Amino acid sequence: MLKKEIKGIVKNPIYYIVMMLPFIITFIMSEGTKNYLLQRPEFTHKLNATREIVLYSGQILDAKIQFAVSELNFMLLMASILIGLSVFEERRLHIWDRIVDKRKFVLVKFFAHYGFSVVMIVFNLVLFAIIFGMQTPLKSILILLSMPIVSMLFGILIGLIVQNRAMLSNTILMIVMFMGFFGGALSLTSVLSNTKFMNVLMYISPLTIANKLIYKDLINVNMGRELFIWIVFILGFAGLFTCFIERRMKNGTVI
Amino acid sequence: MVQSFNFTFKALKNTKGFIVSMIIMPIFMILLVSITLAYSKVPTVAYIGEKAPNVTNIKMMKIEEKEKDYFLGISQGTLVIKTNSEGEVEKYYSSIENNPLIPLIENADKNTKAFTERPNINYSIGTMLFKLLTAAGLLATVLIQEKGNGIILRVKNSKTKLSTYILGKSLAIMFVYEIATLAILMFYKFANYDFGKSNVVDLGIIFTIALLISTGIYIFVAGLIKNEGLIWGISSGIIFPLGICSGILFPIEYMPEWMKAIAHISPLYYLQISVINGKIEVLPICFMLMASFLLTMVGIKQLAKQE
Repeated sequence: MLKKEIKGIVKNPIYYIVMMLPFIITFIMSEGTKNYLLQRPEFTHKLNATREIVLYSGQILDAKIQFAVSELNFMLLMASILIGLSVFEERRLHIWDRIVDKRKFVLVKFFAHYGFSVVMIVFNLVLFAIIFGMQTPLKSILILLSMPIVSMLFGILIGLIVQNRAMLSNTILMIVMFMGFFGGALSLTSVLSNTKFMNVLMYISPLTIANKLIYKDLINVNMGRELFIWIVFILGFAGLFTCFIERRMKNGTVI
Repeated sequence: MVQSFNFTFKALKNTKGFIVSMIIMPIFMILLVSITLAYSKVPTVAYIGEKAPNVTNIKMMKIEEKEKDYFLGISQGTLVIKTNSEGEVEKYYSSIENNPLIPLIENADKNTKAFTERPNINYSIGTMLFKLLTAAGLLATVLIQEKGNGIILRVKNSKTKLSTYILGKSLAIMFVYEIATLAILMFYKFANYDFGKSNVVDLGIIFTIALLISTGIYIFVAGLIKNEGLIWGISSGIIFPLGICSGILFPIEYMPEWMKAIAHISPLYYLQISVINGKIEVLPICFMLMASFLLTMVGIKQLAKQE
C-alpha cells in the first residue's frame, strides 16, 4: 500500500512544483525586500557618542534567510492540501468505502506524505545552503521536521470532512494563507515584529513561533519558553486532530 | 443600455454576500495589509528600561533584556538602547559600527512629544489597485455565462446593439465598484491614513482609471475564452505575478532594478507611481486607456462572432 502511495506521489507533477515553491518564493520575496533592510548603511566616519556603544557580533539574518525559513515552514503547512486532496479523492472514487483497515490506510497516507515533506525540507535546505550560504543547525531541522506532523494531520482531517474538492482547497487555503499572513510568509518577520499591534497579533499563527525558534537557533540565542510552547502546540494539535480523525472514521465518511 | 444596466445592477444587488465581499472585505483587507505590510521609512529602535527617549522620526519599541540579541539579529542596521527611569540613554547596542541612528538619538530634542507614525496609504494601495484591476473579472464571468446560455446570441439577433448591451453591463459593474471605492476612500480618510503626496480626489481618479483598464482587459478575455474558470487563472497567474513586481507586497522604491524593469509592463506600476508621487503618469496611463478601448472593441467583436 505504501509503495503504491509513494508511486502516486512520484508520478504527480504537482508535488514537484510544491517542492520547488519555497525556494522560488524566497528568491522573489527576498529580492523585493533586501534593499529595505539595507536602507540605513553605516557611516563611513567614526562616531563620537557620549554613551558606551556595545557592538553586536552575532549573526545577522538578512531578507534571504528570514524568508527562507518562513517560506519553507509556510509551504510545509500548505502541503496539507496535497494530503487532503489525496484522502478526498479516495472518498470520491469510493475506494475509501472498500478499505477494511481504514486506520492503516490513513497511516500509509500520513507516512508517504510525511516522507514527501522530509524530501522537500532536505531539497530546499540544500538549495539554501548552495545559493544563499545558509547553514541550518540540527535543532532548526528538528523544528522543521515537526511542522508537517500537524499539517499532515490537519490535511487528513479536512480531507475526511469536506464534501467537495473546491471546499477542501478553499478551506485549507484560507486557513493556511491567514497563518502565512501573520506568520511572516508575505512580509519580513522583522517588519512584523517591529510593528504596533502586529507584534502581538502575529502570535495567532503557529508559523511565528516555529520561525522565531529557528531564527534564535541561527543567531545562537537560547530558545527559552518558546520551545516549550512549540512542543505543547505540536503534541496538543496532533492529539486533537488524531481524535477528530478517529471520530470521523467511526462515524462514517461516505460522500 | 439603461435596461442592461438596471438588470445587471439588480442581479448584483440581490446576490447573497455581495455587500460583504464588496465593502466589508476590502476594508478588512486594507486594515490587514496596512499592519502586515508595514514597511516604513521610519526606523525602529528597541529600548530596555521603563521609559523611551522621545526622538522625532524614530519608532521606539520596548523589549526585555534577553530579547536584545534576537532583535539585533533580525533587524539589520538597527539599535537597542538601555535607558534609565528618566528615559535617558545609558548604553547603545548596535549591530553595525558607526550606526547613523546614534547621532539622531544623541541630538534629539528632549522636550519633543512621543513620535507616533500614521498608517501610510502606500502600504495598502498596491493591494487595492490589484483588486480594482481584476474587478471586471466579474463582468467577464457574466459575459462568458451569457455566451454559453445563448443570451448574447439573442441580443445580437434583437434590435439592441451588442456593444450597447455590454456597455450597460460594464457601467453597472463599474458603478457598483465606484460605490465600494467611495466607501474605501471614506475609510482611508476617517482612519487618518497618511496620503503622502496624493489626496482623495487623486485616489478617486486613479481608482476609476484602474476600473476602466480592467473593463477593457476582461471584455477582451471574455471574447477569447469559453471557460469562466480560466478567469481566476488569468487574475492570479498573470496579473498577480506582475503585481508582485509592481509593489503589491513590498515598496517599489526598494525593489531591485530587474523587478522594476518587469514592473514597467504592468499597469499597476504606473497607477501606483501616480499615487505615490501625487502626479498622474499621463503618457503611460493614456496609452493604457487607449489599449483598453481597443481591447474592448476586439472583445465585443469576438463575442459577436459566436454562433
